[in-house]
Amino acid sequence: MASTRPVLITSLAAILMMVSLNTPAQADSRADIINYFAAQATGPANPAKGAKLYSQAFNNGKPDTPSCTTCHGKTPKQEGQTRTGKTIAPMAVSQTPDRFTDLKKVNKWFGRNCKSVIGRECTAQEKVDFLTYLSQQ
Amino acid sequence: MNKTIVVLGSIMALAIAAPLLTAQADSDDHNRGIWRGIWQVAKSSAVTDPLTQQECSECHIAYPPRLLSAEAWKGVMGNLSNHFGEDASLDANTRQQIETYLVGNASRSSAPGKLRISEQSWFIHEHQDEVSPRKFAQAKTWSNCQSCHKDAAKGLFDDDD
Repeated sequence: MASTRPVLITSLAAILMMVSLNTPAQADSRADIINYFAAQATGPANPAKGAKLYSQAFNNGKPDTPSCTTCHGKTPKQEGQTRTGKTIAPMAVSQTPDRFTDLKKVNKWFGRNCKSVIGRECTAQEKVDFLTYLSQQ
Repeated sequence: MNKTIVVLGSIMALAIAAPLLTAQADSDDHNRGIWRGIWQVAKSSAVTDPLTQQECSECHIAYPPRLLSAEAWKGVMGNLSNHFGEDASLDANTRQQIETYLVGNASRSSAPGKLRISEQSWFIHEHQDEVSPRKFAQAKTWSNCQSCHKDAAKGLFDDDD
């Protein structure tokens, strides 16, 4: 019996590790995330500019992804679809309440999608406008 | 000693099988039993690395590493800023960990210079006479495995899945 104890403890530890991998990432506050970009922005948040950014077509990004709506819904309240056929939950916070609550994720997707769609990094001002617009939708 | 092996083995088997069996119970469309669940665990080629599963399944299913050669995976992971027409960049540490997993579990040989799974000769062979224009129109792209293979995200690509 004594010899099985270390094995049992190790197994329990292994199971605990597997369980912890399935728990969701620590959530950030959406307001904190918006404030984080607002602190670097040149002016106050402008949701109308955010709306334009969402729907506008650009010429300098990758040819397959001229605008946000290539993959995201035609309006932020609609679902979108990746080019490989996977459904994307609506960007509007009213439809997808956990949107913009993980700063790492927000940074990752701004980093990727601004380059794919616009062909450059987005400015902090654009990020505030965009997040403010979608938070109100 | 034998007892410890049995205890450890049972716990590990349960830990591996439990998530799949539970998932099976949730979507029990075809009244599949526990034995089918165990069989699926045995033959599944699903991604087993949690980081790869998480990061590579956001736009498409996480494709099983055995579908490309080590060389091809290095090619894919070395050009994430233009990932078949999109920027799929990762931080350096994440990128390296995923590449290590994919390369370490790659098996099929790939056609030189061809990085798409759908460009591989076995893929073309298995799909060219199988997929009707109507089915392809529904899927839109060869990367949309789950359009026809309903359990593709679990690493199951049987014709009837």
